[in-house]
Amino acid sequence: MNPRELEHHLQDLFDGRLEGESFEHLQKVLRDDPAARAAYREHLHLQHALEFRTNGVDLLNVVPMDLVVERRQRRSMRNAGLAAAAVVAIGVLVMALVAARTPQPTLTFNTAPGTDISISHALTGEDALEGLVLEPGSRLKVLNGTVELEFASGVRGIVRGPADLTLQREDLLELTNGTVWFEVPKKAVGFKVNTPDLVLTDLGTEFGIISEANFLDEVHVFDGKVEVRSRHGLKKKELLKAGQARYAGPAGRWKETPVRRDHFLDELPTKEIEPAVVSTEDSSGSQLAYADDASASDLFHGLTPVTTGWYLNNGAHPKELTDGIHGAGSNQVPGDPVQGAWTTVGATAEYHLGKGAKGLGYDLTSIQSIASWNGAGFGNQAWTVEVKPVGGDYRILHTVNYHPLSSQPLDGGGATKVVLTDKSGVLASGIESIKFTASHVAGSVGNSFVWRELDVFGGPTKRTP
Amino acid sequence: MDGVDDVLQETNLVLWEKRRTFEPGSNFRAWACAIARFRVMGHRRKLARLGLQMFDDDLAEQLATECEAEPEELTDRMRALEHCLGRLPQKERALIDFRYFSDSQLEEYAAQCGRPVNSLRVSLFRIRAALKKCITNELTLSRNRP
Repeated sequence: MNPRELEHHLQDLFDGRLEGESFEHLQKVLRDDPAARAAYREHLHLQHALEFRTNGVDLLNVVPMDLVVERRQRRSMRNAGLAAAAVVAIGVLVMALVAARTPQPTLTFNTAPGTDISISHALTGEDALEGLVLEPGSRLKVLNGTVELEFASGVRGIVRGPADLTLQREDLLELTNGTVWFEVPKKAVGFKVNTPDLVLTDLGTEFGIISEANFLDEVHVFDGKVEVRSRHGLKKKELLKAGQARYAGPAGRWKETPVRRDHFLDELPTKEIEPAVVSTEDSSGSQLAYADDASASDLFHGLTPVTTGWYLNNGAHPKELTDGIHGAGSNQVPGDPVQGAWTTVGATAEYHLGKGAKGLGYDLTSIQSIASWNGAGFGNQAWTVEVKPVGGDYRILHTVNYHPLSSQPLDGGGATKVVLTDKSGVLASGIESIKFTASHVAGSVGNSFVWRELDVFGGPTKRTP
Repeated sequence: MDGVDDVLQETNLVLWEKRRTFEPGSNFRAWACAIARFRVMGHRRKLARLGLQMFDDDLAEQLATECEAEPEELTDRMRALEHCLGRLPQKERALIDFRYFSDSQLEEYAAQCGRPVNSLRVSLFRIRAALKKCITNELTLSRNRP
């Protein structure tokens, strides 16, 4: 076969027009003649280059198999002899292109030492994701510890557990609960976070979200702006700027709350952070189970708090939190049917201890809280305690969510007792003020509860904390 | 190269599905080619069942091996092709574009431009031969550049 004949045969081959004896003849020549195979190589690469130039990038986009099958059925496959070429064409294409376009996961994450997580993905079987990556549909539960999120878009987040989040889209995170700090670069403006209470759209900023069961979700903006919309009631929108923090009330109205930068981490801890506060919780089906535990000798005894948002009808009053008396059962005392404090969601009680004997404030060693009523749910308790050091700002010490009575009948009654202590023996040192904020409890009317007693134990701080 | 396109698509699909099994740092080319070869062999068996002519296994393997190219060569070839295409007369460039950018048959193009199909085939033959020669020259120049 002379060079011109070889050229014709090869071109016909690549055009799918070489059949019968001509095909067999070319095959024999290729088998025997290295020069013919070199010519074949040149044709293959020209064909490859022309095809690649035409289809290059699109070839990487995987088409559904049914479409492939359909195309195959439509097309005549005259190019049986070209199967060998596929090895080369595929090999070089894959090598040159796919390797350069290895997709970056939508979200990668790292965990701090001691972090306990579970992950579930939308993709299963052979397609299941491996490693510390999330794709749309993936759910990450942080049982405890801290996780750093890194989105392909450049968004960074630090999640403090316990937390539960689902990546809905590359720019939308569903946060069921957890405390998360976010930093959003300009290129990722429009990043969204949904929580049970709110929808947040970032406008290029640094912000934090606190979402906890039975508490109203909070947004804290540290830099730039975010737009938030409440998901309940009025569903009002609010544009928050740096230095502002809000939570949406049950009716959907936005309410101010102090910005708490210290409540959020912006870096992954390098060592395990063990929760120091120990919460000991007890419950009983009897509303007077802890009647004898109320203390008349603690730091709070006799203090009158600064209060907001409490129910004051039926004899209920927050001053009863610190009177050292549990109080009788419901409707047992004529004219004073509620011998306790009756919360609303968001009700606060702020106690000023003062600076103590040495002017250094107080060491707090334990906090005891008792709730009870004859109706189920009202004996549950949910609250946050914040402490303020002498001359300092409030910080959250602990949050209690204790709802063991929720499944009892409405007239079942019951009581709960929660005691907070610290592994070190001191919950907080150098404290001059303490603030309690009530939250939602399950199983009651209006998510309120009857708070019988609040005792704080400790003494004056002796040395500078 | 109808069948090749389909195999390529299928291989891309498999590579995507199995991307997590690739160990970073190992030989991606070898990994991808192993998958591609498996797909091609499957495709060849289907063609054989359809009774279509194809190169025998030994020759196919030999051609596949001898036609392998390093990424640098492919890049150089692409660059050379672009240069050579730019030197084609407008009519010839239009014919190449139709042949490789369109899914339509050459007969359609013949009807559009008022030329017989065989004439177009002859032109394609000549253009491709010219492109091949041009690319070879470009590659030679490129390799011998000081």
